[in-house]
Amino acid sequence: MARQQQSPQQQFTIAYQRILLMGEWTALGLHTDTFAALAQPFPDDLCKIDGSGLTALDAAGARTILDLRQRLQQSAKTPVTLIGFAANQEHLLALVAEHEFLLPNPPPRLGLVAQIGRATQETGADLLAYLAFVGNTTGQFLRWLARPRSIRLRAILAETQLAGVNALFIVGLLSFLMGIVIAYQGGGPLDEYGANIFIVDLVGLTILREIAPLVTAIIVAGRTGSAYTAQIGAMRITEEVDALRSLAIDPIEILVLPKLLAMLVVLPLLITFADFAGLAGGILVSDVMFGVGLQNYIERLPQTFYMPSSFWVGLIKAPVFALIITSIGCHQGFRVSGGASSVGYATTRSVVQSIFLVIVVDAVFSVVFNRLDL
Amino acid sequence: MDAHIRIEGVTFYRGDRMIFDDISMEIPRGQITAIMGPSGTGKTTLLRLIGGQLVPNAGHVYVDGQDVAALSRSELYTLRKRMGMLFQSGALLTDLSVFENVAFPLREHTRMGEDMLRDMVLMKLESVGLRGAHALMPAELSGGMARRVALARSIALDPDLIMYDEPFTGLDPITMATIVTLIRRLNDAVGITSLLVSHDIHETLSIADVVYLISEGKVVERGTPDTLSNSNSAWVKQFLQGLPDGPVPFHYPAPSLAEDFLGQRDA
Repeated sequence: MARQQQSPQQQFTIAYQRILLMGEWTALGLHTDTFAALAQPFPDDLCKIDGSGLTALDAAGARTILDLRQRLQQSAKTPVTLIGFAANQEHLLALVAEHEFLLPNPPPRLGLVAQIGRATQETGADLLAYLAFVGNTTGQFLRWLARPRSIRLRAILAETQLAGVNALFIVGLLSFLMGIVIAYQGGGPLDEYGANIFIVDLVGLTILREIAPLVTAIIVAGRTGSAYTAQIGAMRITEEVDALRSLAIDPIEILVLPKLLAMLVVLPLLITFADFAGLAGGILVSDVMFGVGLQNYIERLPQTFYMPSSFWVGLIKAPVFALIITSIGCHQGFRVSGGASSVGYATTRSVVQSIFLVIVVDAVFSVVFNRLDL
Repeated sequence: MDAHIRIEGVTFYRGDRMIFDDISMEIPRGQITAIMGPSGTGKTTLLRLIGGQLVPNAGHVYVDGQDVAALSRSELYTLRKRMGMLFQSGALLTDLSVFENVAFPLREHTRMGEDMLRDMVLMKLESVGLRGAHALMPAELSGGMARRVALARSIALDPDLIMYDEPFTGLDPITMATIVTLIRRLNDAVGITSLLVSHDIHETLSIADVVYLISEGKVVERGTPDTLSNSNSAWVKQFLQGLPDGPVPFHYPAPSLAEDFLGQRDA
C-alpha cells in the first residue's frame, strides 16, 4: 500500500476510447492501487492514451505508460497513440522507449555438488593462506631470536597491558560466576546423598581443568583477538601496512610478533587468575549452602584424585590457545581488503574461527590427557 | 641517459585478468617520470612491482641494475630503504604523532642519537613547510597536510628514488600547487629520481620530464609533455583533453543491446 497518501485518488479514467492519465506518474507518486487497476483487462476499443491531465512524469511513469501501450496494442485492432503530452514529456517517453532492457538471464544456479566443491575449494585456499601466514610468522620469529636486540620490548609491554591487565576484571568476574554455578548445580545432588565433601572435587576438577582455561580463552578471543583483526584490518585499508613495507619494515615483525609474545605470557597468567576466581566462587556457595568451607578445601583439594595435575593440565593448554587466538586474529586482519565493511566481516570470522578452534583443541586435549592418565 | 629503473617485457596477471602485457619502460635517473592512464590500468600495480611487493608473471624489473624479483629478502629490504613511496592517503601511522611518524624510519633503520634525530626530523618537516605541526596527531591534519607529512617521512632516509601514488588526487588548488612545487624542488635540489603515477593531466604535464601513457596493459605513448600535447593519436588526444567518448568507450562492456533485448532464452 502506498503509505504517503491516506486516500489514494484515481490516477486514470477511461472514457470515449481513451485513457486519461491524471496526477503524478512518478516513482514516488504512482499508487499500488494504480498498478493493480492497470493490471485489469481494458475494453478492446481503446486507441488513445491522453497525458493532458498529468502533473508530473518521470522515467518510472514513462516506463509504465509504455508498458500499458504495448499491452493495449496487443488486443486492440488499431494502433494506440499517445496524445496530449507536453513536449518535454514526449521527449522523456522517446528516451525511455529507446532504452528498453529485458531482465538479464539469472546466473546459472550451482548444483549441490558444485556448491560443496566450491565451498571446499574456498576453505582449502583459506587454510593454505593461514599456513603461509603461520610459516611467515615463524620465520620472522626465528629472525628475532637470531638478533635479540631487535625485539620490541616496549611494544610487547604495551600489548601485555592491553590483552592482560585490562582483561583481569572481566575474566575474574565470569570465572567467579562459573564457580558459583558449578557448586550450586552440583552441590544439590551430592547433598542428597550426604556426599557434601565431594563438592571440593567437583569444583576443583571442573574449574582447574576445563572451565578456567576455556572461559579465559573465549573471553580473550572475543576481546583481544577481535581487536587484533580490527586494528590490522583498519591499517590495511588506510594503506599503513603497505607504508610499513615501503619503509622496509616487515609488518609481521612489528604488528604480529609483539602481540604473539605478549599473549604467550598473558594467557597462562590470566588462566591462573581465573582458577583462583572460580574456586572463590565455588567456595562461597559451598560454604553458605552446603557447609563445606575454605578449611575443607585447603585440606581436601590437594588429596583429591588427579591433583595437582589438574592445575597443570589447565595451564598446558594456555600457550596453544594463545597461538590460536593471535594467529587467527592477525591473519584475518591481513586478509582485509577493499572497504571498511570487510573489517567487520573479518572480525566476525576471526572470533568465530578462533573460538571454534579453541574448543576443538580443548576436546583433543581432553582425550589425550585421558589416555595419558593425567 | 642512465636508466634508474628498467622494466623489460613485464607481463602481470591478477587472477585471470591481464594487467600488463609485455610492457617495457625506462625511468631515467634524476628526472621526473610520470605514468598516466585511465583508472584501473594498473598504475599502482606497477609501483608495487618496482617495490618488489608483487612479482611479475614474466619479464624483469631492474632497479639500479638489480632484478627486483630475484633479490633475497634482506637485499630487497636494503633496496627499499633507498626507495621512498608516497601513498595516496598518506598512510601515516595513526597512533604516532607527526614527529614520530617522520622519526619512525630513522628509529627503525639507524642508530642516531636523540638530538641528531630531532634535528633530522625537524629539517625534513621544514622542507615540506610543516615544522610547526610536529606535535599534531594524524587525525588533526587535513588531507593535504597529511600528504606533506608522508612526503617528509618518505624522504627521511634520503632515498635516491621516490614514487608518488596519485599525489594530486582530492586536493584543493593551493595544496595541489604546493605538492607540485615540492616534488619539483625535491627533484631539483637533491637529484632524486621521481616516479609519478597520476591522472591529473594539467599538474602532471607541468612538472614531468618524461611521460608514459599506458592503457590496457600496453604503453600507448611515450615522450615529453610537449610531444604528447602535439600527438596525432586519437587515444592520446582523448585522454589529454578529457573527452568522455572516443577510442576509450563510455560504456562498460555489456552484451549488445539486441542480445539483452531479445534475451538468450534458449541458451
